[in-house]
Amino acid sequence: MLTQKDNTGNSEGSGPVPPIDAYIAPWALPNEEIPLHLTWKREVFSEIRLILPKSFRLKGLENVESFETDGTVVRILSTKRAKASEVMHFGAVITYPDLPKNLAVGGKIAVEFWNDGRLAHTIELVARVFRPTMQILEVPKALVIGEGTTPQDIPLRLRYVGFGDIRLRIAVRVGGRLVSQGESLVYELLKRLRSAGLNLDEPDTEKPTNVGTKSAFRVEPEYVREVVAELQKKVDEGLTPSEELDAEALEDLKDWLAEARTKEQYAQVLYGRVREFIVDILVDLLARRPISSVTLSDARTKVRTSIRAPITRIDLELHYADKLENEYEPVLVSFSVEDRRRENSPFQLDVPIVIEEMEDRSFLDVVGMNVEMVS
Amino acid sequence: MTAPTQTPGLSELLSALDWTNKVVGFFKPYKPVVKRMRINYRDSTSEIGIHISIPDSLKRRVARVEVPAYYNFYIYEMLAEPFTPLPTTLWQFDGGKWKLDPKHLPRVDNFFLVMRGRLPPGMVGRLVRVQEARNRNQTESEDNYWLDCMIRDVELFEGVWTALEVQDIDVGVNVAIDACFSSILPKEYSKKVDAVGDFLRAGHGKSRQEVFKAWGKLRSTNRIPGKSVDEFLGFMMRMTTGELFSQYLSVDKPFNLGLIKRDDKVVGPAPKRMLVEALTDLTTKQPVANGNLSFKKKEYTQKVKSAFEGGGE
Repeated sequence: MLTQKDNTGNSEGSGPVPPIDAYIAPWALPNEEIPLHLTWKREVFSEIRLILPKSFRLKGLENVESFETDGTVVRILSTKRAKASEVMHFGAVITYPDLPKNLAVGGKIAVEFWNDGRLAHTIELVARVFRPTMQILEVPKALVIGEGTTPQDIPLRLRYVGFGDIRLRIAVRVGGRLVSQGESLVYELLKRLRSAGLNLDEPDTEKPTNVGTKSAFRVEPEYVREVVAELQKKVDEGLTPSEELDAEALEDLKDWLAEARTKEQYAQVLYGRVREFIVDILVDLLARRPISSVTLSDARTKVRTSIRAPITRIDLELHYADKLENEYEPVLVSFSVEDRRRENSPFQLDVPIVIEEMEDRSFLDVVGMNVEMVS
Repeated sequence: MTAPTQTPGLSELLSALDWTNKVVGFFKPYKPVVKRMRINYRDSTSEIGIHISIPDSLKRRVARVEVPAYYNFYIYEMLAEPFTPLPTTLWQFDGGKWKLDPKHLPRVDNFFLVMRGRLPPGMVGRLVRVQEARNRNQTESEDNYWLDCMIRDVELFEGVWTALEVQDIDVGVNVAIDACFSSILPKEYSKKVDAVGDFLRAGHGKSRQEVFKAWGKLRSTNRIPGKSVDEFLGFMMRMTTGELFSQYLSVDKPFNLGLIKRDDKVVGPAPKRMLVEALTDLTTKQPVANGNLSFKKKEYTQKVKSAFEGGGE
């Protein structure tokens, strides 16, 4: 019987039939195409049967002349043959079309070679499918909003278990409204410009606005100029409003940039500001990998939102998808908000979510791992 | 359900590949030797690499080398042998022909010329099925990717193969490297990001006290030693050349490593992944190929780290 470890092997039984080499891709994500193929020499079989587990699906056959199937049993009646070679082969592509509950599942595939009503050979292959999962280890009980103070960090302790590199996105719902976002460089810059403001009347001498210059990172002035030019071009061309920057905000920005351009300090201050943001974004980019299997879709997890009505809780949703864009069931957490201010007036709130810990339980070397067999 | 598969048009495919024969014929005066002929499965192109000889005496006599652009083929690469790449702009496209003034060539006799032609979409996919693992299988020290190729229709393949000796099947793998760079980023840099953010927010607010507090925090992060962004980007570029990166890759037989390059399509200031090509040869005698591509990430990360800290590469 074929062992899964080396993915090559010979058939059971003895007789005149030369060995049959079999291969199946040793690991796969849910919905990934799993190729398998078998090769042998000379022998023309009257029928080859491919018996699939019910939970897997046949996506295609290769080098097959004719076949019949009811979905789980595929009867290959003839394969294509080269004139100048005695090597015979056929292939199949199967898939596990669901997101399994178990992190590691396997399905046995039997390949039977028949000759005139006699079973000459049986080969068993195992398709192995793996998935990731995220778990929340601990969330704070409450977020306290005090008078004129910034709220404390919301520390999250998370655990990644399983197989498959994921992209993790943390969405925040305040009063049922979604306040997280994805962004491109330009949107990100605009967003930051808007939230940080750009005080053109104040040259950067006394008050230290040009914080990027002597820092750990310096940016090529040419690169900054390119980014600023790109930013202005995008604004002039008209940007598509996003969740974070709505049509009104974009219009504001446009007016503001137009007005700002007439001022003397404009270029200097804008370049300084953009340079800081680029440094910021570059560092984010590199800090985006808490563990090697997880990429955060937005490393700046401090979500800024305006609070208009008194709120009593904040909901977090952890969405994650693998390399095949399989979206897994999101992890949901909510915690209460304790508003200790005397007046409940509208205000801006930073929700400073900090991933304090990401425990890494990535499966190592899944090729030799035990899997739960499914039918 | 019965579904007999049908053989797709061999003649259609052969005619799409026929430019290679015509081109070789055109180069006859320059003693062409076909060194490579392949179908690039990923970008649906056919490729031919020929060795040609243009001695100096001939360069002076011949005004122009001209080849009609059959099937819209284009000059992909030209080398002065043994390995000096020449600018492909030596070739000018003019009136449906590729033209070269041999007087612009360096003073060597032998050249290697690679030309590529596009194939009708969907056509190469009928010959061979090529797939690589979408997700790595990681161990402590390596990231592995399975590779699998098989001939989809051996009768069609045989027809093409006997006519053209099609060789080299390419499987492309995206090897993620950003995690290798994240690990060299000192923890202090993230403190800096937070400090910048806090300062900007405070600066926008009304509290002078908050501003000074944030400014103090920010100033303290300025003492973090480090490279400038330019130095850092330059460093990452040097760490992601095909030549250096190939030392950290291995592939099982019957595959060989092909082209290795940075994936510049991924936007952002830092390289995120490498494109690695694994090549194999399918024939009617070996109609399938499978194996593993390994990226020695631990060794590579160590190399990146020591180069970053030591300054030497």
